[in-house]
Amino acid sequence: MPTGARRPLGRIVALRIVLFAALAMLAQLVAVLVEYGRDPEYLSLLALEQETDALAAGLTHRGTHLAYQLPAALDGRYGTDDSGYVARVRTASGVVLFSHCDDACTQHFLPLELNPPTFWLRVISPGYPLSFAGGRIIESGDQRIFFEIAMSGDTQHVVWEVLADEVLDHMILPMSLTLIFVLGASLLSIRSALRPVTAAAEKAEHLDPLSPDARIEEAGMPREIAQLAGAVNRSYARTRELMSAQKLFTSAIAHEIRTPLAVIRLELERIDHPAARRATAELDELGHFVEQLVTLARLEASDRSGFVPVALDELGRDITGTLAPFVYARGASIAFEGEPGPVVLGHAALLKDAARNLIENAVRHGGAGVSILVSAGPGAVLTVSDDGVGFEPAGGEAPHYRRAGGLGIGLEIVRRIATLHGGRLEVERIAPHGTCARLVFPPAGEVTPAR
Amino acid sequence: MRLLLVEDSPRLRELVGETIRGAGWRLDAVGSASEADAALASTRYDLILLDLGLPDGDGLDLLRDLRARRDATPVLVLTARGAVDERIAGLDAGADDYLAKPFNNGELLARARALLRRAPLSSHPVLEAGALRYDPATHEVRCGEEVLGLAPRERAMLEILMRNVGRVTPKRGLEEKLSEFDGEMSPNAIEVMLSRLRRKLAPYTTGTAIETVRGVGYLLRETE
Repeated sequence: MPTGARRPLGRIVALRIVLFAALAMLAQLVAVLVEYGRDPEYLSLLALEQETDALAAGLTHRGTHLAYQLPAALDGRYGTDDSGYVARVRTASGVVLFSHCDDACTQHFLPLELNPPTFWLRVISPGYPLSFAGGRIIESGDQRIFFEIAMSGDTQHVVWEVLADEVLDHMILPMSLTLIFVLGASLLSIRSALRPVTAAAEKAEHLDPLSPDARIEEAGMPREIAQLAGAVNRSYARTRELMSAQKLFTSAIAHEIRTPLAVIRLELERIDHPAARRATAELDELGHFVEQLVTLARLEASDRSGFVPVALDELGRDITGTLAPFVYARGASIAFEGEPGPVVLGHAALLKDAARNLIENAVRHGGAGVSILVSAGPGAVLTVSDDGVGFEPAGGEAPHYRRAGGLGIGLEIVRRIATLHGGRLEVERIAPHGTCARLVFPPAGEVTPAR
Repeated sequence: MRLLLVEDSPRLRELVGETIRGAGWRLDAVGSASEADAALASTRYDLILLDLGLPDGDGLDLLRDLRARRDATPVLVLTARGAVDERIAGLDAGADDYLAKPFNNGELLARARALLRRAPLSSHPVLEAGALRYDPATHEVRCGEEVLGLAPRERAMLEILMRNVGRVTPKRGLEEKLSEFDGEMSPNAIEVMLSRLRRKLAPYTTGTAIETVRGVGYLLRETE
């Protein structure tokens, strides 16, 4: 899987939409330029409208008196001699308000005595650069003012200004509006389509694949994403199948080994010889080892589906009572301490198994006359402490299976049970004698998946 | 005392059979669930020793059927399944006790004896623990041949402990039962009574010990 931050789908889609919109605009721009470029006469007409509109900004009324001042922006065009552009502003009655006329005026413009038409245009030379003369009437107040311009050669590229205006008015504005709506609608629909997916992803994050109801709800998802969710659900189901197969397997193995062990055990009891006693001791260790192996394998297949609140003090008292006969029979003693209170969310039988392993370890490795104390609390903690010699195997005569991991497996079982419950196992030596094993659990309701 | 053994391993059947008969009990041994059904239909047993993995069915089903018929015959489950949840399943199905393979003869006899003692219609109501004998009918406590002179309260306490020999009697349970016997009792009074009982038993070789499991209860165990 590639590392690094992944971009959200919304941003990816938005970027693409903007990119494609830009490309579309570019194509449209080219088309517009070609279209307009093939019709210089129409461009001349647009240029005339634009320039006369710009000139009209210079009209001022003082009462009924009409005055004209050339706008500063146009000074370089219509205020300069030999610019190639000329302009004249007059009233219908022939009063000239402004003129930038040389001989060309009389040549290009309509005679002053003529009552001007609303609009006229005459191409001086066809094609590019634009050369034309023309005029139009702009109404200002109740006056009709006649604006006339002529250009030859278009040295200041008025044609580009005209084109830019056209593109802005008829292309960029409407297309931007479209873009905003398309973008907004796309993002909205993506977000609403992804809502069930986001919810499912959040749920999957906290799912325990081993819990029997671990599945992502496919309802309400778009089909493509429902397919993915379906695949995830199938893999959850497959995991559970494997787990239950493992349960079956370990229980079958256990059965096939334990019954012959029971037969051997009883046969050995009939033989009156020290060698038979030694073999019996070895056999007991083997039986214990098999039990632990099976427990370990079954722990792997455990899930949190059967978890219920378990009161630690009741559990500790119970297991202490259950194991007391075994403990005293081995010459050790046991006691329990604890106040009601701490509750752990878990599997009571597994928790008892963990405590049992710790107590058995204390009896096996604590030496003669060891006293064991089981205590619950303070907090969600179950402690098994003893005043024995510690967990070291007793010399070189330790039975084979203990050396092979009898102790190690026992503690591993306890550790895994703790982990399954979101807790941990802490073992420490107590000076001068003894060992203290603590099972520390999160308080009930705060169990988080940990594996 | 008649027992039924349901176990599919022929050799284990023989070995357990010898142990049981050696203890002076009669035993019928069968190897399958169907044979067990036939035996149960014709005979009344005092105890059933039941293996869970049978060739023609699960011992647990047999057990459930038995309990569904309101048959309260005590059942000791002998099984190769040791894992905790299955142990729970066995007890849930109505088993009275549970012994995981491999087990030894002593353990088997002790558990069987404990269950037979609990049986309400037991033809041997005399309680035994080590060399101690208690006859609830005559309220007589003996150690070997000697009769022990115990106060009624001490006798009642010993009876409760003997009914639970090899198991811890919870402190609260003991309090409740003794309170039934003669009014409210404080935990302290129980401690005092218990040490008096220990003192009275001390001169005898009872083959038992009474342990205080602090925080839990009391344990009468056989020391042999």
